[in-house]
Amino acid sequence: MNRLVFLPALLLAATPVLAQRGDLLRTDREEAAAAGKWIYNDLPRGFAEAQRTGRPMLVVVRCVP
Amino acid sequence: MDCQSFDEQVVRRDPKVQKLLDQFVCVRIVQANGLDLTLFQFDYDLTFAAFMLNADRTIYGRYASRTGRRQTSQATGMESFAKALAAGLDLHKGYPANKSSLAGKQPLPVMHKIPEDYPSLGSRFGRPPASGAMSDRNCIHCHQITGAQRREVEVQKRDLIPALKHPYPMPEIFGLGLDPKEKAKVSRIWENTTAASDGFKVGDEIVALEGQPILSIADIQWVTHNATAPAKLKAEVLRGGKRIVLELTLAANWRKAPR
Repeated sequence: MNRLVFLPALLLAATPVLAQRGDLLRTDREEAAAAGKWIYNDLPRGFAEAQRTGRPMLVVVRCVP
Repeated sequence: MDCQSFDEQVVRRDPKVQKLLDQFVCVRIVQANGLDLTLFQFDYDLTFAAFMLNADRTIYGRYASRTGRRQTSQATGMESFAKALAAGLDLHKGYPANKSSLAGKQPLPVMHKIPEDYPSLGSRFGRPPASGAMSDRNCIHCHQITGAQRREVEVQKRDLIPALKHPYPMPEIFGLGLDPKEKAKVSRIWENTTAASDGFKVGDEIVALEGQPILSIADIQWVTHNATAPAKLKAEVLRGGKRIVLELTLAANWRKAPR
């Protein structure tokens, strides 16, 4: 019974947080794209590009809050 | 500079950094889903970490520091990041002739290859998305990896090793204050500390530790975090234009030692 009551409440509470995070990720992706030099969340593509060009890689791991 | 501002400067603002970034292939990873833990080993409680590496996966250096939000400005800054990038480019120019000096910088064996292989994360997040794909509803945050590592050790009823209890302490723990604008330059030595008794002085530039070229404070943390204590680590230092060798002492309980 308790679970039936709490689960919808939990989902309702989490929805704005998830939506906000989706917005943050979209903004972050757009800003990285606008900078024009970032491969976004695709490490294999980065390795392929580094192999092709002979350039070193810079990998930034940044948890978007 | 707080972490958010620092990240913005890195991505698109600071002109000096942008010029250096043009010489790299830049990859931005924003979620830990599927993160290759056999390659990307760092303090997972951080919200920003950077790696310079070769396409063959050889790590040149790391940048980031374990600090609380209030302390971020003590360890990161555009000046030191630009200097670390420039030093990474130098290592790349000297590669592979310098490969043996980079051996200690390479990743160590890990419990699991990706975060989802930890039972506590796999049961919750499933398998990782395809490369380039993201999930805003199912995102693994880096700090959850630390939690999963600790949980696994607890489930196996093993003692939590000091490296998991106190990961990547800042060099202040030895009494070694480093200038946030430099790669690894001593800006302060606290009295009655390991750094003082080991002979470090203000103005010393630590250029290598245990034979590893040092590009940043994070590189120092990498060496000390992975050392087996007690130990005496060989530190090559530039002092007054001369290269001298010192020893940095790690006591058995150094991670908990008061400064």
